[in-house]
Amino acid sequence: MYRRFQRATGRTVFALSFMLGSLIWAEPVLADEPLFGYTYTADLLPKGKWELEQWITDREGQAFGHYHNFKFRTEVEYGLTDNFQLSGYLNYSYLNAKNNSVAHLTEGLDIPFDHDSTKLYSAMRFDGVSVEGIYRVLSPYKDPIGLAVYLEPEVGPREQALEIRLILQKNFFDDRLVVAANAWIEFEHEQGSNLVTPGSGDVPDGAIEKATMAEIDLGVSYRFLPRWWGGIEFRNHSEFEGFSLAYRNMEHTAFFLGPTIHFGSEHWWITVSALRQVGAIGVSSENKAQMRGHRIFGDEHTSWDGIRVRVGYNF
Amino acid sequence: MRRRWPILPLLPAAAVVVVGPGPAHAVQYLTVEQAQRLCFAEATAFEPADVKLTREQTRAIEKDSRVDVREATEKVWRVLKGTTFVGWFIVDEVVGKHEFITWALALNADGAVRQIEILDYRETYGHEIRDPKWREQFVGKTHGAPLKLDADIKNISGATLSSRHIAEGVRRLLSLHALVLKR
Repeated sequence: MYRRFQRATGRTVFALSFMLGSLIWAEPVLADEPLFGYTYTADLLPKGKWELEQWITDREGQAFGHYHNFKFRTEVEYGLTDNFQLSGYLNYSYLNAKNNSVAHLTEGLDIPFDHDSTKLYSAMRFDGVSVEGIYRVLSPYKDPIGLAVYLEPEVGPREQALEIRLILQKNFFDDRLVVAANAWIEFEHEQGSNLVTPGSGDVPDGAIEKATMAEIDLGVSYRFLPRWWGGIEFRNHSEFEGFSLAYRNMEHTAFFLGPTIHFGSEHWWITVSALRQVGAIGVSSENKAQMRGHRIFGDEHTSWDGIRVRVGYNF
Repeated sequence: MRRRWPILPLLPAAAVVVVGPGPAHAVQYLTVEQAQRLCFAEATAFEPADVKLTREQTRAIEKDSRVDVREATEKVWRVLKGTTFVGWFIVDEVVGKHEFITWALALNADGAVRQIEILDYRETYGHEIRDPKWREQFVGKTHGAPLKLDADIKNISGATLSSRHIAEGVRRLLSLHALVLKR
């Protein structure tokens, strides 16, 4: 039954992806264009306009073995007003991992608690649905600085989350250089994975865990040719136990850096970014146990976190 | 152990990345000659009078207009009716969201804006900048006018960047007229 579900989900993903690809291919044909893979800007769709967007993110590589966690998001955006944009997401993923953890076992990030950690894990999964609202307070084209606020609740079989984000944008040189900064917090309920802290003797039970994420994203992008933008992105992601941002609850903080490129045509666009984990600090003993060199893995991050492609079509 | 990859779902996006995006639609609404005739129907001659700006002139225009000068050469024509000087015609480019927007400014002999025309526009939204009503806002503007969105110029929904850059372009060319052409 589960395998049938996996096959059916795979076919659905292919069909959706094929339809999107065909749409793009049929006519090279844009407003709310992301210049970055992770950092949001204060650009929104105009009132009454639609956009279809496909996200593909590979969270690749952990301590050992192999680990590919492809996150897919199919998004529909609509401009309710010139300053308020609403989006709906369908979230699904494909995970393929073997001996990825610091203990050379198949365990950790997104691997179910009841999976045998001595075996390969390969599955396509439905992750949930989410709704995103972005309200622009200040426009980067009319005001000294662009400012927007963002709210995204997500509901799924293994995770429920609420993300709140503050978006800042400043343009320079005739709007050809864009600097953006985001600060966001996410509160989540998530089912535990099959990860076991080496030597602890714990038995994974799939208990629901509460966590708080806090992140700062920074992006700089320059329009080096008409239609082409290139830049760099930086993320600092921190995680806390429970619904708290107190240092005593901090589990780890990790840093990511990498290039981003964007092409925008009249009706469609593509953005590719590749962020590498450049360092991390494990704070809790459990998280310290998942460090290899200067990077953290386990239930937390990957080496490339991640390689993201976003394509969009404006109607 | 053989690794299994989710190749099929990635194929469409991979095709776009590998093969590369197609050309954008280049919509030319008007040629330079057509725009000249639209702006000065009574003209009998358009005399080329391109201006190569010196560094000092560039700095003076930037200071006066508060807008960067990207090109050192401005494509300018003196417009004549018979032997009478009736105005200036200038073709210029401003930064659009994806591409440059090619546009023309017609000035009366006294330096007031007579008309603006959009020659090329390749953006997704904001084609309303070709709307005669929007362009009419500029008619009669003279050197020193604010030419600022939501002040004396209305914004265009979904094309704030384009409409702001056109307004700034008019401000810059009015400075060009006041500081260089008029002298």
